[in-house]
Amino acid sequence: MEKFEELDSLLHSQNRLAIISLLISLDEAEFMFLKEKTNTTSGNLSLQLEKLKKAEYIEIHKEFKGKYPVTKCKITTKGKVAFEAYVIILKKYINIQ
Amino acid sequence: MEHKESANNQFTSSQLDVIEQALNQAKDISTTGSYYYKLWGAILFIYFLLNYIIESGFISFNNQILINISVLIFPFGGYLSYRKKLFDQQKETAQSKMERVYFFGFISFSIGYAILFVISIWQQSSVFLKIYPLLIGITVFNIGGIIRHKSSVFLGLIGCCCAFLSLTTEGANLYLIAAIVSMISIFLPGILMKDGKI
Repeated sequence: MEKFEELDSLLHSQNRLAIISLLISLDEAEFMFLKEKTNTTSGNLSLQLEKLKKAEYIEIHKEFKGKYPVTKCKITTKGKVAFEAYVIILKKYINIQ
Repeated sequence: MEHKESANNQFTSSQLDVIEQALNQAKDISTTGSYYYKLWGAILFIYFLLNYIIESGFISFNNQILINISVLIFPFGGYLSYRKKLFDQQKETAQSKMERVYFFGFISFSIGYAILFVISIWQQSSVFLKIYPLLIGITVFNIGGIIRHKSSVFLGLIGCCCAFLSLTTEGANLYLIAAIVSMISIFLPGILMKDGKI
């Protein structure tokens, strides 16, 4: 029986997976954009972003848009590699099932 | 055991749904490519057409007015682009990767064309007009291929083919060919990018 590789637990959470999936196809995205698209609360999104940042999957920087501060997120190379690996393993699971 | 396997099935399938949904949402981000194609297509068309009128001597009145218009049209285009950029920066919450494609595509065209322009002045030749259809055609063709916009690919190719004409023509007609190419290979693709998502 084939032994499966472990799925990245950090990406296995639906919110974090959605964030990474959005960021992988964008150059960068603002906090409000991610909040709207992932349909989550600000508190929860902050928490998930912080976890992804800690794992170095994303970069977070703040800048001013006119008078208002905005938080921008961007996926890192490590994040892209992790996402690709996650999708490959996920596909293996689904193919077998 | 069977029950657990079925739950796993659903779990991995739902992960795929999350990815698919997120990728589709990211695809829906609008880019401003269409605006810049239309703006700069129109500006280059007017510039080359005015120069064609000046060079061919169709109009007998003071050409200085036309020369001034043809020169001032570029800062005007730059101002409109700057204003649009500022407006978009205020509005947009995410930036599509396509913006980079447009940016580097047209920056490379501008650098190439600026070099040709300087060489033309230096050698007093019309090489910048002769190569223009090929250069802009290749740029629009490449960008069209990357962003998967078939009309851009086709119209870029037509621009490239116009190089057969420009490389075998001399004089004022070169400006006319350049004006037509600007319309076909820049302005028209901008019009055809209807939904603004490319």
